[in-house]
Amino acid sequence: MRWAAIVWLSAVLGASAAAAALNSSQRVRAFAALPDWTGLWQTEAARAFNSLSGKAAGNEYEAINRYVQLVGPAPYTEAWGKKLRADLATPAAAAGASNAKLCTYGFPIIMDVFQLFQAVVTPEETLFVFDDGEVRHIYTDGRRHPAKDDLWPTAMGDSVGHWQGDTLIVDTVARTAGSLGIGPNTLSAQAHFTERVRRLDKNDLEDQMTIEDPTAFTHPWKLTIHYTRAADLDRMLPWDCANDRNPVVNGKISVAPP
Amino acid sequence: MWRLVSSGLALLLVAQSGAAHHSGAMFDSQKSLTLQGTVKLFQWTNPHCWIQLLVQAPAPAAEWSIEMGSTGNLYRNGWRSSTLTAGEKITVTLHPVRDGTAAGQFISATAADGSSLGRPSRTAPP
Amino acid sequence: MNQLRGAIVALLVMAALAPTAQAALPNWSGLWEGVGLIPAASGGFATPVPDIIRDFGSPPPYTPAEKTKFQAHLKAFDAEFYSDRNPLKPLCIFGFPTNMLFPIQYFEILVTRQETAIIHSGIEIRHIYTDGRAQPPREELWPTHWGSSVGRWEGSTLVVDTISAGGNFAANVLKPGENLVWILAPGPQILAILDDQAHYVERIRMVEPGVLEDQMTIYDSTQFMAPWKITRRYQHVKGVSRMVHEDCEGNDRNPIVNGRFTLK
Repeated sequence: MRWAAIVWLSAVLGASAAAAALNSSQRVRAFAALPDWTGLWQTEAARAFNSLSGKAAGNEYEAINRYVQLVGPAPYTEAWGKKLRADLATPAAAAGASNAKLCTYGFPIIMDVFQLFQAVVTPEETLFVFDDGEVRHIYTDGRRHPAKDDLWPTAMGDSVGHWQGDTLIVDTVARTAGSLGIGPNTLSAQAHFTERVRRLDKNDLEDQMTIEDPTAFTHPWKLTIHYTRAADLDRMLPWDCANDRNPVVNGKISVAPP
Repeated sequence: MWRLVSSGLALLLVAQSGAAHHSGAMFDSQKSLTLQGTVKLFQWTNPHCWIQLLVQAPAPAAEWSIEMGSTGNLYRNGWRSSTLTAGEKITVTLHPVRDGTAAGQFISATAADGSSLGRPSRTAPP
Repeated sequence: MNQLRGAIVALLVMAALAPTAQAALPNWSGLWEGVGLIPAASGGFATPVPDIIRDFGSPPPYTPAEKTKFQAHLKAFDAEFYSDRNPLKPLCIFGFPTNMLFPIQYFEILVTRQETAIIHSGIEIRHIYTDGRAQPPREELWPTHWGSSVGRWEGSTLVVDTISAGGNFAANVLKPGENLVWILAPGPQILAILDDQAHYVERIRMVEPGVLEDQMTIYDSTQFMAPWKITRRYQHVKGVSRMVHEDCEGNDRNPIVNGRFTLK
């Protein structure tokens, strides 16, 4: 009987060794302590614009102004406001001032527009994975932001975070300066973002975001973005620009033939 | 003052934004047009799905490009890539483009006999 | 008595080792790149493409008739690739299975109970649902660059089933549902053109510490004489500890002018 037990133990331990990548008990415990944010999440803008036409009911611009907080008034200094108005004075200048891209949004506007996302929570990082292929990586393994030499501005910036109970505290820097991509607002290279993200209940998630920009703002800009679970979907439906038929021709958006 | 200016600028920038696929600036939202025609092609693509509709009347006969939402929008509202097939007769209501070309933004559509297209939507309104 | 004590100890140890759902899943954290497929600072792979193909070792098993069709298709494709109608150009999308077979971008693998997500350093994500679901019915599917994937665990091996992989293209030469297996190289180097009826099965496992392997079998009964069996290994990326995503929109200075890539 003892030999049978030893053989069993050997088999089990051998199998474990071969699968050297099995989670350690420490990692398993770390996983168990993390909140469950399973689901596909959508902003109010995404819900409003979820129609056969892809547009919200009523006036489109009013809908964007209503649902997308980041196009709203920001606490600019007089100097920054003056520069912004000058930059936007003509459509050509506005288009030139915009660093909006064809098919991706970047941070922070990605948290406040039309793309659905899922939150993947692991001990080392929490990821917000969007349906357009954009991903935010929020490293929660205790690291700080990279040293200056290892950091460069990107559309998503660099995010590190830690857990306070079930709330994820996120700190983001190094976001590419300039336009938010939709709307008139711009930020400097010094913009610093803090978020408190938590699940309120089974169907609701919340991001309390504070944007500090000592160059552009007189005081921090605080927003609360609310998400609901897209209960009608059980898988991510990808979105891309493979068939973009809206070229800008002579400064105007047009419709191209198929 | 800046708050008012900011709102006005939001309207402008959405029109000019590089995220062109999300702006309806080119469509005349004050006008709507109803067309009967035959589906030439139904593009189940992103960033928009499109109906290519062959319209005989009102003259001149033309192929209309009708812009819809994304595949995700349509899927969540009960449409599938098989909802329309080439040769099918449908009636479409749309906002036409401002410059007079044969194109518009989808408002609604029915089969030729007036029945609805797609399945009942399961999405909750905002 | 000693025998009984031994048996109890064995049972207790076995119970302690009995996996919880998460404990049964492997830890594949970190950033991965293809073995022998290190990108060069000049763009493309450091290893010359002929060597990559030689080491790859598994040409697609085309029937003779299909091989002739493929070569003719390639000639027509070449012209379209160097045009503004190439939908891949602004997207920097490689699609599945290329992003697993010849990954120019690195990736990470997030293993959770509900799904395993493979996140590439561009804007490509594979969602492999492991919650017991079957593939969606055909009418719920359309071709996407990454297909529809469901998976199950056999011990520490992830067995993945993928269908409906194909570009959702509207271009003339690449038809909706067509899919490329290609290597990023001047040309480009296209090994096969599949369609969205192809069926892919992968067995992904860690073969030794720090080395993952994907054994892929591609079933295409229209074009191939036999299933196409391919193996690709991955190793941890050295010197990189965070994912910084790339896109092709930030500063694309290669417009296509008169059918040729240019520099501005």
